[in-house]
Amino acid sequence: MTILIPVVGILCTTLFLLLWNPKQIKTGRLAALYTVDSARSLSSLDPKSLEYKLLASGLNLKPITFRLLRIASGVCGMVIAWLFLPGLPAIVIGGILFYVPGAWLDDRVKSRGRNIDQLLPIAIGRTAAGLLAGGSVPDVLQQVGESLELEKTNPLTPEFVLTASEMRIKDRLEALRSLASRSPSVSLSNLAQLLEGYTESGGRAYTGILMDISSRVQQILIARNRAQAKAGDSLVSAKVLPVVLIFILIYLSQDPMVRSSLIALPVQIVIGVTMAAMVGGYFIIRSMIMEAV
Amino acid sequence: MTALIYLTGIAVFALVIYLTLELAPAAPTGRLSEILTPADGVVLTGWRKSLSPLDKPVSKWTPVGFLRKTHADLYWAHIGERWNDWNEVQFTSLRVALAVAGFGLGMVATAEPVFALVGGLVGFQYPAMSMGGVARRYRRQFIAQLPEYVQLVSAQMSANVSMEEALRRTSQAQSLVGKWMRWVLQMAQGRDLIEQMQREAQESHLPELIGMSVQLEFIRRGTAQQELMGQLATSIAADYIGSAEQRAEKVGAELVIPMVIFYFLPFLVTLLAVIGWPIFQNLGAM
Repeated sequence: MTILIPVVGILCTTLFLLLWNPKQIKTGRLAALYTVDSARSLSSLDPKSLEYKLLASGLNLKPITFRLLRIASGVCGMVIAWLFLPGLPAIVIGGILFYVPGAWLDDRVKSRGRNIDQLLPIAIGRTAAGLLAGGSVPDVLQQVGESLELEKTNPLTPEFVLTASEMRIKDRLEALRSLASRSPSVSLSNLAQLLEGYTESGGRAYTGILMDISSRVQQILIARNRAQAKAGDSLVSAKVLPVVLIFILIYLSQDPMVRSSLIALPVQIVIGVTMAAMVGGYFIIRSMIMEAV
Repeated sequence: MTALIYLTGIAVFALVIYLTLELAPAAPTGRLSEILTPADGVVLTGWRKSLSPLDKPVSKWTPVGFLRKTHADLYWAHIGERWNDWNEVQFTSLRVALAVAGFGLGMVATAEPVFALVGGLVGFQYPAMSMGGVARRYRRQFIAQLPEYVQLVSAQMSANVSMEEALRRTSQAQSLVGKWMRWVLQMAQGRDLIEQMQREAQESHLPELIGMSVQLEFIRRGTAQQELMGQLATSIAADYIGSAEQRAEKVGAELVIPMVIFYFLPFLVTLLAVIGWPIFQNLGAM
């Protein structure tokens, strides 16, 4: 049990650093996930940097804090697992707990584009209706963005609000091009280009075309989202099997002979490889599903 | 068995003669001559240089269909900026070299021809799996983004913009299709844009792209270009919507192998190891 003392020490240090680490904005919660400021800052950062990933994923953490948390979770996971299953499996669990936050963060960044794609059919419908009713592009974008925000916090609202404000203070086409270039979603980028065409052609004459094209793009996006959701069903067994395995191992470990076999090196190697395979497999299968449609 | 030694010796000698002796005519001819002749000023480096002696026999004996498939995969890998500058013959040479290396390693490590063959097979398949995975990802991404891109072209043309200009404007899109169109425009300098698009579509071996480029050619010749383009955009969107459903159905089948490799096999092996280890130990003690 003495091994718990350094773990408690690590946890205390992490907590201390988290609480006392100077923050630019102390919100105390993750409510301000997608602000206009963050949308503006994102365009100036390298998409591969950890800072960009943290901002895009909506985590109010500094890169150093995130790294510290990863290390702390890895070490703590390893030590806690060591108490129940000493040896190689504990080290593998530590490695997995170190790896998973990074993979989760990457996935969250990618899902920002997917979240936008899921909301785009609604947004396109509202934008087209607003323009048909005679609204100007910045006003319509602002209103659509605000209406989406009323339902739930989402990554599309700040993009629309920022574009609307940029359109009011600088060249309209440039603001739409800026939206297209910083957009994490190809469909949003295409919408920006469509609106660019609308603005260039003077609006009115283009409204009918915009309505037709918008409805087709809407149908494409709805079909894609539906197909992705359907494909995602296949992930259920990937989530269930590891849990079933853990329960079976816990049940079997009540037997003294099986318990002794759990600390044998060959068995530990098998368990460690299985854990790594299942975690790696989960991410591979998930990416296959996301790229399938 | 002694005859085999002589035969191997003769075969190796013949191969050395074949690879080292330069026979007239030196200039390569035939269907694959384009592949064998590097562009002016292109100097092979690294792996491609080391493998270059294999290029000649590989191009001669590899079936054309196999090379064509590799060429199409490399096309998409190049779009994803992977395997740049590799051509299908060089890539096949790499596969052959790795197969031989895998076989040799298997023989040295296990001295069992079966395991050596498995090693050779792994060596032969690994580069194809690696490059094929990249190609598949970019091909799917392209197919997913194509319908929306066509909508953009249609929108531009509806605003009385010519087809060439519409393609030029929409090539600024951030999508993979936009990137591909920029490449086509770059390659079409001084040539006909739609013809160049057809050439690229044929190289890509993508039915959707071939179909679109052929239809664009028809639209260009037609009179009611805007209406025709609108129809093309509608049909491409409808095709995509239909095929998206089908692909979603197929994903389950595609995931069977990864599920077996990453989940079911480790699951079974773990259970067998945990339960079987005490029995195995007791048997050993007896």
